[in-house]
Amino acid sequence: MNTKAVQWLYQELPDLVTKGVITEAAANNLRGHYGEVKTSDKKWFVIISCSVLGALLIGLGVILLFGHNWEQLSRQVRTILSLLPLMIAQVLAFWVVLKRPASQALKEGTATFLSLMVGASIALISQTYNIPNDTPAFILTWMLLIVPLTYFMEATIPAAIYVVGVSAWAGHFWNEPLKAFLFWPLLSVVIPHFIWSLKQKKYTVRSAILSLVMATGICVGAGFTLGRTFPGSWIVIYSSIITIFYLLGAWEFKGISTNWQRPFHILGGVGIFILMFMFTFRFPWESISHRYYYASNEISSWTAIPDHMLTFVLIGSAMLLFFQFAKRQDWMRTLFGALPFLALFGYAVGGSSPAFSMFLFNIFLLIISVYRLMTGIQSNNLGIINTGIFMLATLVLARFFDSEMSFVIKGLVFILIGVGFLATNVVILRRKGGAA
Amino acid sequence: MKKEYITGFFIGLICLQIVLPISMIVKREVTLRTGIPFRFKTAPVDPYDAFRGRYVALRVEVNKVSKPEGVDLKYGQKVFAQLAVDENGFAKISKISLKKPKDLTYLTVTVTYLNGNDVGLNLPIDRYYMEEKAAPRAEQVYREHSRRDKQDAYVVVRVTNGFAVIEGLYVGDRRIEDIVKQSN
Repeated sequence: MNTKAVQWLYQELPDLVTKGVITEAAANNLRGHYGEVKTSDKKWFVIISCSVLGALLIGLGVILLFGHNWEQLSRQVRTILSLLPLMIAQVLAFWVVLKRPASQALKEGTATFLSLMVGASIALISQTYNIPNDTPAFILTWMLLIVPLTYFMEATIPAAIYVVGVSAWAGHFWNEPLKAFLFWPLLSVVIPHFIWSLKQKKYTVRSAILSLVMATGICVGAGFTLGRTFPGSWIVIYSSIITIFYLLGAWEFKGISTNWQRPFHILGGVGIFILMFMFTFRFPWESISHRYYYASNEISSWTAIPDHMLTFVLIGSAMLLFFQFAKRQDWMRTLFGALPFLALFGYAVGGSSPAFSMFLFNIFLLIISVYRLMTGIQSNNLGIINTGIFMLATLVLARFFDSEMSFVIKGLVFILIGVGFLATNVVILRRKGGAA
Repeated sequence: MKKEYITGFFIGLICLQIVLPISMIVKREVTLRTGIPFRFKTAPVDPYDAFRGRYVALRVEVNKVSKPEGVDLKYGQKVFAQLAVDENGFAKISKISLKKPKDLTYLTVTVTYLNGNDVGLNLPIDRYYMEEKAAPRAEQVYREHSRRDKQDAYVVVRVTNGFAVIEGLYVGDRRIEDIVKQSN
């Protein structure tokens, strides 16, 4: 339900009744139908944000204080200091789980604090005993010790910390593909929580934060783990991932009404535009003929099998989603979702003739932006019109300053497209005139 | 989930969170109290870690051995380095083996590179944490000291069962903390 619209309707009702547009009874019927509008969302947001920010700042402050490395402190004192803040955080969290299980603010806050204190404790011990540097082990231990909090305390910030942590962990194994690939099973640990958070009506900002972190984590992790054997395959891989974000994010969840609750959809849409725009240039297609210097040794043969398999699954899923939306005749999303097909085609021919792939994406981006502009005009939606204009303007500007094509060809193409616009305009005006 | 389950699992998680740091502490305390001390020659430099603070990075001088006959080694492989003391009283690696040496003090190390007959080793002695302002000073003290051709910085490390814990960093037989304090 769109609460803003209902709020607006309730504001209008008295006026409508006094002006005699609807009867008092009808107004009451409407109120009965839509029920009470909860206005506490903002308050909730403030309380939880304060709680989380407080916990984050105090937790990071403790880590920084430990980082100073107080020389005066003996090993015994340091031992106590390593454990005490952790135990305080545990007691707080445990008390909240037992006594205040309904308070989202307290749960989120104490879970965040506890997550940071686990890291602080291990860090201080590392410092006290000069433990040799093993950053990946440090990160992974820390992350595995905090991820259950996500579920026990229905807390999203530990999940976000976890996603950042496992992404950083994967980065340490860029030359060990099998280890790095564990990133995906590790990441999937938070997916049930993510789906749960999407279905929540209150506190929707949490799914937005988690989506942002997860989308970033997935893109970073894909860079560390996928497409390591075939130069330029990132073109197809990232196209598929971003398209999955976009189409899966558009999937209707029960109770989701605003775009704010579909952050993956927005991120995916923006991502698709950025990728398409990049593909109108030469550099992505030139990367296909780059040789990977490491392709010969560690990253090849059977160790690349998980990489290849996941790549196929991603491309396949993106295409399946595309057909789903094509079946629904949701043309805007279908057009955006066509990216993986084009990327695959472009990748196949781009190695030998980059110009062709560039041409393909220029045309496609032009079609999409014009289509968006037209749909916006038809449905009178200013948001869609503006994004359409923005996409078109970006493309036009980039090509105007492009040194690849000759001035004559550029000039002719610009004039042709301009004439096309004017012609469409005339046709639309005529039709409207005919109808009137 | 039922509340009893949550409480039960939660207690389990809390125990895990606390047991791990305690076991880290205990293992190192045991080594510091019972381990055999060795002096490793080293060169300290000063970097920074956002979570763990400032430290001096240690480059231990004995970090390669000649390859033992008839043994196949790989990059990143775990091997056991047998420790001995040279004529100047500093630690040296007498040889490496794939099996744990009995009745000998050894360190568990990993192979970092293979070059002909040379085997590079990664010793678990690479960081010495110091107070925020002291760590860069320590590097400076070492540099000033080594300019006078006396590169005698070393770490004292306690070793038991292949496990090493650093006890202290010394430059010219004095604890680095004392030198830094005096030079301020």
